[in-house]
Amino acid sequence: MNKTWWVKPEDLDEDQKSIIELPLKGSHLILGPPGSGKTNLLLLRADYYTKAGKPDLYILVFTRTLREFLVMGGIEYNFSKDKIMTDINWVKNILWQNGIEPIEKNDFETMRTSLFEQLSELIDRGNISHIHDVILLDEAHDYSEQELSIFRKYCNILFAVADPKQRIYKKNNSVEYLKSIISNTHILKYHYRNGREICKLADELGKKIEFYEPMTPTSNYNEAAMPSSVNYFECEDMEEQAQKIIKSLKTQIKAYPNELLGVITPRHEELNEIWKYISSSELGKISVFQSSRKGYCSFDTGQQICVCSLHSAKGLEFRTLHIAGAEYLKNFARQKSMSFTGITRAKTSLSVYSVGNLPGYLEGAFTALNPPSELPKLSDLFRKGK
Amino acid sequence: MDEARARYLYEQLKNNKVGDWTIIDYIDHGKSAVVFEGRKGKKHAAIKIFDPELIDKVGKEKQRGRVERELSLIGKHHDNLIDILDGGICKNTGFIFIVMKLFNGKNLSKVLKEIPNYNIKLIIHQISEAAQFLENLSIAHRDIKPENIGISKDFKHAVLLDLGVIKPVGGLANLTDGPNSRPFIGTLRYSSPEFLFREEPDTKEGWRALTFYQLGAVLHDLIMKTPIFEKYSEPFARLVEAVKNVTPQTKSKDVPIELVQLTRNCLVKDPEVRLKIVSWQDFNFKSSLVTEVSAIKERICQRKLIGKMESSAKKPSSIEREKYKEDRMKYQLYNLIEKIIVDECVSSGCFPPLEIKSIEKNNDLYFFIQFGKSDELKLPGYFRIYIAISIIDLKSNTIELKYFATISYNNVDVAKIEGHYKPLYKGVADKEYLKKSISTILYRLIEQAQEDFIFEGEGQHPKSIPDFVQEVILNNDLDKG
Repeated sequence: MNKTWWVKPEDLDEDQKSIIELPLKGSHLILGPPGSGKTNLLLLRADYYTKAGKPDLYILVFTRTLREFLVMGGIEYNFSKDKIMTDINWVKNILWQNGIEPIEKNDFETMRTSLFEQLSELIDRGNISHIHDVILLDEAHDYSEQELSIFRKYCNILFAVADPKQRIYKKNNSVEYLKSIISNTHILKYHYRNGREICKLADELGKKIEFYEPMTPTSNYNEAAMPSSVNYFECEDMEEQAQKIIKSLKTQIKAYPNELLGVITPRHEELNEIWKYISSSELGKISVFQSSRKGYCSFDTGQQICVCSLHSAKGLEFRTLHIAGAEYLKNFARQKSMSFTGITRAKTSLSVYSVGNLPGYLEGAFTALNPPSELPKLSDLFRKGK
Repeated sequence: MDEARARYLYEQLKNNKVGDWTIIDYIDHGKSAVVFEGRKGKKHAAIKIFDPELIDKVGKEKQRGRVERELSLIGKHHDNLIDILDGGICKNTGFIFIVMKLFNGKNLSKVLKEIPNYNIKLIIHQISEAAQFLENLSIAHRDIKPENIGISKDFKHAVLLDLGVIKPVGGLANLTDGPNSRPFIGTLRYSSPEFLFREEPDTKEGWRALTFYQLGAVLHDLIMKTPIFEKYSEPFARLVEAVKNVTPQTKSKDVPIELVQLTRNCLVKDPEVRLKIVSWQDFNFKSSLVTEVSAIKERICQRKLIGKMESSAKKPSSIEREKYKEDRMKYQLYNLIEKIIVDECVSSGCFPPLEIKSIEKNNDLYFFIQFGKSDELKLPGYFRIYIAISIIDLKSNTIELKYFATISYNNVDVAKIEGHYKPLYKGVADKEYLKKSISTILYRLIEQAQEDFIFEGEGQHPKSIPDFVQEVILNNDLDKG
């Protein structure tokens, strides 16, 4: 897909260039806001290691969707897709190689925990069969200390990219831990993905997140080329949300050809329902459904619309993004970080839909972005209807 | 018309005929007309003759139109409204005249102090009936005041006189109002604020609001025994100010409380509120056979409404509302300028990535723009631009922008905004012009920064630039542009 991956050196800023060419020796931790090029740098740095004589490496990602997304970028740079793996598959591979049957569980979190426990036991027995040259970790902020310490043991060099603002899984403060096991920290200041309106919305949300660094001051998104927008729609039901989304997607596929457009939901229930509407519409044949329960598809150039859960959308980016069923954000722990992650997946246009009220902090962020031009009068509060 | 002129006219017309009426006695005179007693056969009547001087002023057509309006009331009788009998232009004398039933009584304005309090209800009830009668004919009197009310010698029968400035509601024929102007008519002292400024809507409700106000003013005079706003009579501007802003004190222990309350309600400045709290029934005191508690409750509610209107203007909440509105306007202006700066830098490819921060200080807003290092753009250090925005006048969106720029090898995190600012823009904020002014400065500055860095790179920087570790102010003189 266009405009997602850098195609020539001039596309990178000085900070980004310097990261690709960091010394080969030693581990590196790259911290940066959404859209600062972290994932792209990961791919280019992996290619750099390979070409510099360290080909025994893996890029590990948290979700299958992100893996498919990176594979797509890998094609751009001729980077082997076999070297891009979800961490779970990576753990399973090691277990298999050591004759251990990985435990299968329905719940994603429980399965992860037990797989890493199995691997821990293996390490405790002193059985680290093979140490990689490099492990490159995307979204490293989402791993637990235990998981990170395991990765560290399995490689000579750990190259991790992270954004402390984006933790959406219940883990302790992994970024602090990363800093303690990786000696070199580099910061990416500027970011380019998210339109100004989207940055502003994220910043309003960020006011409720501890130690938040606002995004708007360092945004270098080209607003003049593609003006950004955020919208919120309160709907009657899922059908209305689906109809609104389909209607606007029909325009957007024309306005942004060859660009990935996204539809995401916090919960699987709404995800399945919305997929029913989209797959049966004329958009069905250009849409791809990513679900941990129903399987993953690779992104290919014919498929412009990605429908997936908010968790699966981590690390992805969409020219236009529709977040449906946003009222269910309330159900999650770390919901503010999760909302932040969701919002910052959108590059140019973000639309949020809900039945009933949004969580207060999100509704507040929308209002702050477009405050009323006058304060309400006392009498306005007693007027019925609109 | 003054007394002498009135007398002179009487001498002239005495025993002569105006229309079919023989003038036999002098009765009274007002500003624009004189009233005589006339006789036609056995019938006696009041003949009002308009001052020819006034006619010259307003134009004969207009005056005739006004008279015709009055004549349209011929044959329409109400006990409390003076009967119009005849009128027109006298073929012999050329005078414009109106013939009314002779009212055998006194002018209310002259006997205010003699009216027994007990009769106030009756009098105001009767006048309100007359006004309502006119309203039902889709006519607004527009000049109800004690001077225009006749009262019988026993003070029990009141009659609304002088229909000189009556107006059909929503009528097309605009005789008192010009096509493009709405001059003041009627009587200033008894005019409601909205009528004084001619902001009254030309609807039944609009005119009813005026009528209620004027009935209230009559009530005031009846209760207080003195004309409304008497303390403010001179000069003219003071009276205008009073009509607009002063709420007359109506207090009396000698009249029923509901009468005082009705007066206050009628005299509420805001016509919309007035219409909410006064109705025709309020003048029909017979119907107020409600229980005392509910009557009190109603009065308290009405007072509350008035109190609300009166206090809202001075409330801190209204000050806050105003401030909020201003802040919003400011914020939008700042946003516009920030967007112009960022859009230009990000989209042109001539600038390194930037970070923009703002600080508000002493009512001014400062933008602090720091660009990243870029070898490609020959900027091996940091290049910063400071832009200060002062709002000169928010209402007209008039602003002043100033700037200065620096280069250094140090990364300054805290924006320090003191500096030698140079003018960038002054005037009403126009998006296109702002864009042009700001981008000109941006490009000149970045080029200057490049040149200064290159200069330094060659090791021959001028003495005015110190070690180059310090921040150096870009010494380009851009204010010529």
